[in-house]
Amino acid sequence: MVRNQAQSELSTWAIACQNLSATYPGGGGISDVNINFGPGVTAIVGNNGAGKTTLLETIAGLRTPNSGHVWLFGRSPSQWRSEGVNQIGVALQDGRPYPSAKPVALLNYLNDLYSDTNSSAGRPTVGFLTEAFALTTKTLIKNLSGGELQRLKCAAALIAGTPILILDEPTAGLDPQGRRDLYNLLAQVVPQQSTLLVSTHILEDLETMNGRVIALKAGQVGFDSHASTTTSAYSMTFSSRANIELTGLRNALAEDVVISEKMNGSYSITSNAPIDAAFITSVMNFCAQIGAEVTQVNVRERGGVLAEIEDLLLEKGTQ
Amino acid sequence: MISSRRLIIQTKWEFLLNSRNSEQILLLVLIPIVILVVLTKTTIIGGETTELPSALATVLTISTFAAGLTSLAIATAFERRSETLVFLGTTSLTRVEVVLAKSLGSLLLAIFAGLFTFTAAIILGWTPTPFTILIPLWMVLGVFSVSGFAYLLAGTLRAEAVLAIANGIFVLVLMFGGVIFTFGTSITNVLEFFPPLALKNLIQFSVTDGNEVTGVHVIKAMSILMVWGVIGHMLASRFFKWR
Repeated sequence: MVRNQAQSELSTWAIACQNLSATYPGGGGISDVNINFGPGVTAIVGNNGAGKTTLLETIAGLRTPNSGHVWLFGRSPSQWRSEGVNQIGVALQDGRPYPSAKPVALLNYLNDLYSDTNSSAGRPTVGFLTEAFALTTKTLIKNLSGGELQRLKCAAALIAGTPILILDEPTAGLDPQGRRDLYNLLAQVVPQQSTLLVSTHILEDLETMNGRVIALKAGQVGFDSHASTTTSAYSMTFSSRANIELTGLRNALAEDVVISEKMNGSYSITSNAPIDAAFITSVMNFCAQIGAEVTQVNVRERGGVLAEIEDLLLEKGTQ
Repeated sequence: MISSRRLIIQTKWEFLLNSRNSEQILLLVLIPIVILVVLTKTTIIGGETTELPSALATVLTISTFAAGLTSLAIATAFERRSETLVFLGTTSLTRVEVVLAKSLGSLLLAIFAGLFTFTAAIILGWTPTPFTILIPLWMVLGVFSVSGFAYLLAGTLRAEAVLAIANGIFVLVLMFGGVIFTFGTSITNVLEFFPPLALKNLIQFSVTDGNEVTGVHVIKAMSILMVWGVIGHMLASRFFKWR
């Protein structure tokens, strides 16, 4: 009875990971991950080797976990697979599928493959996707540029018309403009009710994406914006000399700020109230009084989450 | 569960991609026809011209192995390297469907090549026999007997190594399989237990008019192909790595 209850609760999530571990003999992978995903966008960030790809591929059923479970709407990926039901559209980070085919031919073939009566409702058409993702090129897949290949992989994931979408580093190798364009495109094309997981190692990408943020660190969930108590909406970062006495600075500012020295001489202040010119002046004056020069001042909105993630991801480098 | 709808779509897609490859056309159409003409019209091989039915059996056997072993192994190895196989794992295709479609695709290539060979043989003066109709079945068995080994190579070695080894095996089959060159009785008795000669014998029974073939011969050759096929596929399913 207890198990049944747990099972029915799991089935309310699009994706439920239960004590999920998938490790490698040489290290890396994920260990004991417990996390659930529902409709909407979730960004998964983390340094290289943090376990992003392993987590996503295990959810997609491409890797067998060492222990623990993945449930997609309450059933395992292999259960769905054995019934020939596709719940997840995936764009993998590596690989160049069917290099000797043309992009449109690949999409047409996939369209045929998915055109059974179950899933055809609400599936984007080949015409729509080739238009939206600019894939009408006659170039063979083996000769596509990095950006074209990423767009093709995203289109190939979308054409499955699945309720879950997983895009592993879709912006890898793109310039900042290309990354923004791709995210804007996805925001237009991906249905609202889809559960979309997007991984990236580029933190600026989070500013373009609106949604939940998960940070992986050494194979574990180090930060989850759904579980986080961080409410600070504004942040200020600056550089100065190392070991400034932070209590004094805090006293000089409003009470509800959090101040930390992320690295030697690199400081972060988060606040619930907007950081205005008067606030910045207070910081500058305090530093001037103690004879510390201030450089690289940066003020951001939504900085609380970003700053927390940045702290988390940079920690390893400073130790 | 195997969906025949998905299987047909996948087979058609793979067949179309493969048949557009110019190397495949060379391997599967041109080489067999050249061998057919050389065997029947010249004395280069074996010092005398070969009878048409025997030459036809030789060429169809070569086509079957070219498709079911060499080109299947090479194509699969390169798909493994480009992670096309992993990509297929993200679609609604089951693993069995992926593998079955590959085998069926290479069978279609062999039959496609066979049609050209038959046309050439008829032009050269061969008359089809009633048992010719069994040839597609022999080709199915022929592909099955070696496709497991093609997957074993493709799923365990690097693509470049597979390219070299699969071509090497193909040459060995041509030279020493009892397919083109014939050997003495004692060697032939051994070679009959290997897929190339077993398949060639089956085909030769069917394309030769009025020969004395007992059911035992046919069942023996069929069993040999089945056993090799089962061994190959068991090894492949044990050792095949998808990436």
